[in-house]
Amino acid sequence: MFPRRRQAAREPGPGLLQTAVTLTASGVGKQIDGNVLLRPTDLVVGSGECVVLRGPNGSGKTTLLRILAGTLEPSEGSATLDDRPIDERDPATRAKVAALLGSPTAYRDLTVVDHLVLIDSTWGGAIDTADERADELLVALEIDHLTERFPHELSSGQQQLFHLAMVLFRPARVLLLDEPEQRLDTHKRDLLGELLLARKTEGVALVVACHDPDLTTAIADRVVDIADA
Amino acid sequence: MTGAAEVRGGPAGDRERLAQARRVIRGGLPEEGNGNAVYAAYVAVIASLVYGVPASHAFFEFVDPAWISRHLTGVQGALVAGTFVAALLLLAHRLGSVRGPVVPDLPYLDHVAVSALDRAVVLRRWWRQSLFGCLLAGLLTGGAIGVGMLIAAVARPVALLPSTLGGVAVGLGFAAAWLWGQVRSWPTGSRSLGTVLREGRSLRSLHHVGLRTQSARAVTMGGAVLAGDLRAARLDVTAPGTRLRHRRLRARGPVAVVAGRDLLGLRRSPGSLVVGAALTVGGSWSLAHATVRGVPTMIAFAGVLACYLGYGAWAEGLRLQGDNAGTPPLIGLRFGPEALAHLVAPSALYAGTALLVGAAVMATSPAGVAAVLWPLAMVALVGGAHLMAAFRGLPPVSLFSPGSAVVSITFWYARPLLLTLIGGVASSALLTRSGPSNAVAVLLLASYAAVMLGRRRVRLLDEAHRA
Repeated sequence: MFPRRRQAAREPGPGLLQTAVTLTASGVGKQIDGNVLLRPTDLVVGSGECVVLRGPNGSGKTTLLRILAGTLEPSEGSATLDDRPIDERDPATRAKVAALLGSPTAYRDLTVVDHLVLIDSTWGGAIDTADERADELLVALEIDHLTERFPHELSSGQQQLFHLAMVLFRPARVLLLDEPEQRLDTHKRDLLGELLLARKTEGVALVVACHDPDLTTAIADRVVDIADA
Repeated sequence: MTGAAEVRGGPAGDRERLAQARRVIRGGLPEEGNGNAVYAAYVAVIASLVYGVPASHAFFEFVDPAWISRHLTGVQGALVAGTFVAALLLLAHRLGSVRGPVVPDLPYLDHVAVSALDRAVVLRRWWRQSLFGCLLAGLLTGGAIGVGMLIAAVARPVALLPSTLGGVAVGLGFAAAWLWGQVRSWPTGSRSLGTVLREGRSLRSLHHVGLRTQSARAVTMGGAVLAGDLRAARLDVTAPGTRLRHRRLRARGPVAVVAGRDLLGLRRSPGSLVVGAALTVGGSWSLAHATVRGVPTMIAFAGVLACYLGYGAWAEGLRLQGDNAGTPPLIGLRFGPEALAHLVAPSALYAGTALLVGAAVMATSPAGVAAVLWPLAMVALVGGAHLMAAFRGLPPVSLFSPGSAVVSITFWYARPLLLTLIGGVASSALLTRSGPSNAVAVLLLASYAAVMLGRRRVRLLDEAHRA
């Protein structure tokens, strides 16, 4: 009923994930019942590039990220990934775009490391090395002592690191992060900056909504100010 | 000085001090007394006469009295009744750990219950109201059953006495188990069997933090029920587990790892595993017996209901996915296939249990091979129904119309269960009355409808957040 090979054939393979990507937003805006959530905005982000979105609360940063993740339809303009409309239902979009927008899916009955193994397995990761790779990421985020904790046993800052770990663990060519620095202490923000720079070096395109000037300086190639909606 | 003088001149005993506190809470207004409780009891008596007695009568008319006297009298009848009462007491005990009989409102707990007043005095009012409610419910239920049996000519008038007294006894047992469950929900203090039905001891054992948690939960659940959001109520009631944290989820293929996740989740929630097994065994046993000609349709009804609930106890992974709909995807499977993958573990458990129970029934009764196949054949129907249930989302706002909101929302929530009951019971009835081909056709049709409606709900919920 669920042949693994068939699923793997539908999703773009690892080879495709190594290719360069271009994320484009052309005049994308969002209105709901006359309320403007995002004024028309243009954005182009390529592989190995990091764009930081800046703007006051309510300016539409999260809305833009949701449109770029393909989870929200724009009211005007278009968002494309390699000239294809971005739609989370499209396997090509799903395979390339990883996003941390609010709290992601977490199972109450799985531990931190179980989540990473589950995510990795569903993306066709190598079964033999899944545990080691999961442990490596948790060490990199300095939360390896939380491996066997359940999500409800984490503090708010630890929750944020756990959410980042889940997003960073899945394969992606585009990384969309909505205020990833929130609830993290200074040291963990530096650590996050290093991890994001490493992703950039690997050729991942990053779009990050961020209020931290130090983190912005560390990772941004360009800063886009979103006008207040 | 003035304050000290007032304290010296104030009420001396706990009862007087509590009465004074209650006067302050009421803002000087007179005590309402037990008027609300009396009115509720009045409504309950009327409802039991108008609805309870006819329902009981219809039940005993519907179920073949001769079959009942053959199977549910003597030792077998005592066993069935004993199992039912034991299950009820266990349920009450479990209920007590979630929402006990003593749950005052938060301001009362924070300002009165934390004082130096004897906690038994402070909390007595809520316990006695709950106790009265349980006794009255037992009395009315026992009475309605007895009167129904009389009207259906299943029993003689003298049966009214034991049924009524039995109902009161069960009501008392329920109240005792309910309070004991609340007492034992706090890990320290006096919580042994010695506290059962000892009002003072039990009430003094209740911890302020535990009472506060239950009170806050009652408010949340009340709001969730009023809003038709049973999901919020469920998440609030079910405490997240912490068992088997050292056992890791093994990496596998995409579908196998989701099924493995569900099985690991069940191992970490043994209560769900056991409840699901007990219900599925009972349901399969009933369905296997329902394949024998002459067995009342009520047995098939009970079997389908138990199988639906048993499968549901094993389908937590499916519900957790439904709870998280709308968040950006982290799982490599698409939403629809992921939902189907979550059906693998409960379906496999159900199929294995149904096969074993069916084989046991075939070996120990006159039932034929249909006893093995029939409970198993329900798997698509109950699986599809749970797909519908897990992804039903929130009820549409249009249902919250004045006057009919409760009925329409209840119907909206019950659709998966109703489809299962109608399809399962109708096909089981046809099996012994008009032959297997008609029964299989009806079951296939109902199963197809459940699976298709379930997949449609999955798609709609997945796309609902994209507007």
